[in-house]
Amino acid sequence: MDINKDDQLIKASELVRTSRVGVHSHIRGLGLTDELDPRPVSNGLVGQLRARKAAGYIVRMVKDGKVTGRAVLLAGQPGTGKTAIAMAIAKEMGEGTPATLMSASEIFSPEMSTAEALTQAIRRSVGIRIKEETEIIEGEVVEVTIERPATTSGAKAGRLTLKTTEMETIYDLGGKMIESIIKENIAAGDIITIDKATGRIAKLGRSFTRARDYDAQGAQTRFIQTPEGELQKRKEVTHMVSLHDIDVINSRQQGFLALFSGDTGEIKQEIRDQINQKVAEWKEEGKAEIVPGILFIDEVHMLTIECFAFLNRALESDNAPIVIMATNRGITKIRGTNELSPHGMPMDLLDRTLIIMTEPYSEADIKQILQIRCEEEDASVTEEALNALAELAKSTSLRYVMQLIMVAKVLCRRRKATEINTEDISRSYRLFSDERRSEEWLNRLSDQFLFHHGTNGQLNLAAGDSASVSQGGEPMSVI
Amino acid sequence: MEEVSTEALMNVVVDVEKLGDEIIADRYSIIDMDRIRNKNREALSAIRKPSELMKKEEHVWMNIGDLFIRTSKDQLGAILDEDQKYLDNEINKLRDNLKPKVAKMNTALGKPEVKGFDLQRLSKEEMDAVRQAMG
Repeated sequence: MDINKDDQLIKASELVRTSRVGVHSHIRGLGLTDELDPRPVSNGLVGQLRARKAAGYIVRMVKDGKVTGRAVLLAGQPGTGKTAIAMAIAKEMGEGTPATLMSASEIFSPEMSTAEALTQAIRRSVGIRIKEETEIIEGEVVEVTIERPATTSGAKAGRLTLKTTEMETIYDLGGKMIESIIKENIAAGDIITIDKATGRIAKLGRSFTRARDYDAQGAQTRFIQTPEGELQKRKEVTHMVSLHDIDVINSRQQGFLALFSGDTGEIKQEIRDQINQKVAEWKEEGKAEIVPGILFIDEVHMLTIECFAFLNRALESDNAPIVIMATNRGITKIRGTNELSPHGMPMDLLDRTLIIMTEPYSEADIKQILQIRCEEEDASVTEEALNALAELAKSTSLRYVMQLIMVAKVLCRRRKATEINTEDISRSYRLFSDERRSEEWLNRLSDQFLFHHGTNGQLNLAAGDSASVSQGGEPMSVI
Repeated sequence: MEEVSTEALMNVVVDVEKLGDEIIADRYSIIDMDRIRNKNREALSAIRKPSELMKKEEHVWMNIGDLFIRTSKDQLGAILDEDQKYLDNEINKLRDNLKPKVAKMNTALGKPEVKGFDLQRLSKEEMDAVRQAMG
């Protein structure tokens, strides 16, 4: 009995860990040619050729560092790939550009004012590039000799012979250096660097020529080539830090630990001013480059009128990042007012934004997307099943059908088949309701539910970017 | 692809090769000078921390190429110090000139320029402060 239990435990721990598949995990870039022409299907994006081309121009502008303080609005119906394009922009920007992805509702928190949260997001999206320069001595240790005096009082003396492929030399060591050599356990055959300014010794690894010195060696031993060239080298490293990181350090009462605890609290304006001044000074002296990144605010209609006013102002300052916003709203009330405005954004901000529109996918596009999603979710589908899925997507929604893939995959595995067929699809369609059927059902049984308002009732929930929003209400109008 | 004439192509190749040769030559002079610098440093520390034998001697032998010259310790120390200063200077000058050359070769080769290549370095105190930000 007991043995059996153990067996089960082992089995449980041996379970294969499957990585999760996100909704946009298949997107690797915008899928443009060098001339910024969109390829129909590339990098996980399908269709939306005009929107992608426009996004490509924005990426090019930011990469060249020519523009700052612009705003871009991605507008379109739910499920037309706004977030997908934003993700693709972030991917396209690559490592060297700071990018912050956030949802507008994130800025509402009891601990922080909305203005502070927005400022932090903006400053997180602006990087500065700086350079560090150090003189180091880098070489392979040929010999270390440390002479200990017979009496305890006398000073230790030591010599260190270092070599590169080109030269070899002997260093006399002082007391401190001897100590750190003992501490670091430096022996002949190690490759080390010594920082000239601080005298810090770092062990890089062991020389390849010494790889066969011992039969048994720790697995962590790293073998590297003997360094080439001169012994005393100049090393330059460029770093990128965001303005927000520097703010946090200098916000004294918190200390730099605040960076890791995640709760940075509010940062005083004086500190930001000081940092702006310092950065401007560095820029003047050629010590720093400012790298404006991108700030992506999803569901931007969730921002209130104060936030929009603040954004307006923030975009005008120098060193502002490119702000990319996305919304699926038509002409609606701006939050915090009773004014109607396109996209739920005030006109003055709309005026300075470049608007990219995403259009509903064509039938062929939808089929493509479903195919890509199937590949991403590691589900093989028969041609007919894929057609059935595409057909379903027309009457329901793309997002609903994308969910069905996973269900169908499980059903398919249950009957020990390798390919999903139409039967799996229709069974999963019957198992899980889409929003239209759900709504019909609710209306049919309306008298049995509590607080029912009817189909064209006022109870139109302001939900997020989910397909359910467009269903009951009036059709979206995109300006 | 646009058409490139053989002549234009040759010009590009010649330019790149010339720049490459210069860079290699500079690298080797840096290595040679560093070798001399290290030998000088060894000699200097031998004078400053003399062995028992050397303590008795007033004069030392200096070797330049095939030539041995007998000088006083003090004089040799002064010569070597001056030499070190000159070498440090020359090496730094070569290194500073190396950068624009590499950048030029990269553009000739059509490689993207290295980001932050021409930045001035931060001072040690500034770097320490920034390092905190990077954790």
